[in-house]
Amino acid sequence: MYMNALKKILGMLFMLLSPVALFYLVKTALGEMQAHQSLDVYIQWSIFVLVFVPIIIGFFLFGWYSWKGEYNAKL
Amino acid sequence: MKTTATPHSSIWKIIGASSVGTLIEWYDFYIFGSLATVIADQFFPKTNPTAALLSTLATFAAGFIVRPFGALVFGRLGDLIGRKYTFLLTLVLMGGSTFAIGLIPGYESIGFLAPVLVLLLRLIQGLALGGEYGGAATYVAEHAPDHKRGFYTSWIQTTATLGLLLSLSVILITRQSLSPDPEISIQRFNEWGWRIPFWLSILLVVVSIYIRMKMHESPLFSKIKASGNLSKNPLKESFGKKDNLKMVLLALFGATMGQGVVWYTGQFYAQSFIETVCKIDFEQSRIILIWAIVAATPFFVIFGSWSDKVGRKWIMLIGMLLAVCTYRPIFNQFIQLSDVNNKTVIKEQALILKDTTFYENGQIMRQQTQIQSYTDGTTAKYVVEFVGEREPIATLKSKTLGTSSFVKMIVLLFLLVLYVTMVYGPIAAYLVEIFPTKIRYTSMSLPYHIGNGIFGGLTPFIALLTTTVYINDQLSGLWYPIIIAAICFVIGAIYMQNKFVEKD
Repeated sequence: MYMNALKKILGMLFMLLSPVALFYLVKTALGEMQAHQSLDVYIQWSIFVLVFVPIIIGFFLFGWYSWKGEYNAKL
Repeated sequence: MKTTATPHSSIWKIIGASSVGTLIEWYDFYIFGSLATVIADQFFPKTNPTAALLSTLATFAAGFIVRPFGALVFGRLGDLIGRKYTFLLTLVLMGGSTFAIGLIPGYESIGFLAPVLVLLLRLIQGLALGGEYGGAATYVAEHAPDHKRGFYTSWIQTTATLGLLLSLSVILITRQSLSPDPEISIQRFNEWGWRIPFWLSILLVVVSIYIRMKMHESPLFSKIKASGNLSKNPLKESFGKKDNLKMVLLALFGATMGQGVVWYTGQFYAQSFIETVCKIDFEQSRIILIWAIVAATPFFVIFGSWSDKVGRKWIMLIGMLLAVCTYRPIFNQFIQLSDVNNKTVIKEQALILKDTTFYENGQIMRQQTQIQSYTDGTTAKYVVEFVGEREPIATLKSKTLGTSSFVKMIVLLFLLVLYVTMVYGPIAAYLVEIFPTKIRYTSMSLPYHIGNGIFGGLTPFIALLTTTVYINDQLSGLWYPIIIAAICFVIGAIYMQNKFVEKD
């Protein structure tokens, strides 16, 4: 019972953290690209953004499922 | 997941055939990484920006994009046509591309074609690795009895570490055996000898293909194939259906993400740390790692077997928790043990190995290579430069630790690899048990390769990036694995079940 409530709260937290992580990722990538203007750095950070965006979306979805009670223990 | 009992002698043949192939794949993947500096000199000259760009792509794309993509491509194939033929294909691709890298002429001979070919072959390696592990783990798990699945699949888990051990050993032996004179031997290795570990791969692959050809298809896969229950679209069923997708997400955020960072920190970042931060000599740093790996490897099987009795969850999570709590003290000990300021110098006058005088920019320059000895047996190599009337500048090049510090270093590194065995030993059994047979290969491969390829593979890069921001803290690079492992621990502790849910 308590665990289900905790999963619901954590689900909300994960959903809130996802856009924050996305913002931080893009901000860092743009900052690094501006600081080191070379094709090497552009490629590197573009790859990071490309691979982490789907992961962050997955984290949001994980939070959504948790909020909806998909991971709740069956009583 | 219920498996029909496979005869005792057959299961060992299955484990042997699967493990040898997977070990070779890891060996192939690691030798490129271990020889990255030598390969860069041959194929990616820094003076040429396009070649340097291709080098970046070879490093990052193969590890981060292609591995999960390979998991999807070969996972789908494995669920459609069977485990046996799919992981035969990944073995051929990996072995063939590794051998071919050893044949490519250098940049000086064929120009841009050289780095382009290396990049292409490296991408094939990443693709093949993405498909191999899920197949081998699934194949063994589908032959293993339910109460021994952790034990049998843990043999597959030893292969990643043994592949690293094999690659380190082959490189060290080749590097030392090309001439009786060590310096000439290293020079020859850097010129052409680095190709030998790549060529050796083809022998190993041929043997492994021969063994794997004789194997039968997994009984569970054969059963669902015979009953016409194969998945028509494994990708859609794995990631398009909520019931399965939520387990893929749980496997990633509650298990493989933390496992990946603990693995890469214990075996790769630690090695790079003792070589670049502690400045331990190239060979001694590898010998330390080899001893630690040899001592810790049996624990993959011990923890895998134990997980059959107490469940997978807490063994993996305690491994992550130990890593979170002890990484900083252990890495701090690495620094303390190798710090020559904590040691007593034997002689005030250092031994001079080499003394050269030359003219540069109209000035007389003198350069000495000196060896300083300490009471505990440690020696440190310095390069001292004398320019005109100025104070000489001494730069520490490398250190070779005395016996006591050397042994302590092995024990500490052993602890790091022990955490790897805790998180990695039971994970194959955990992953195969949470997904149904018909989409198991696809479903388990993706979270595994995102956890290891992306979260784990990024550890050295992010750690290095952090140390360039927080320059006063040599341990700041550890915050990335600590934070990721801590998040994974919390998610795993709250969401994961200790006893698996039977899917079939």
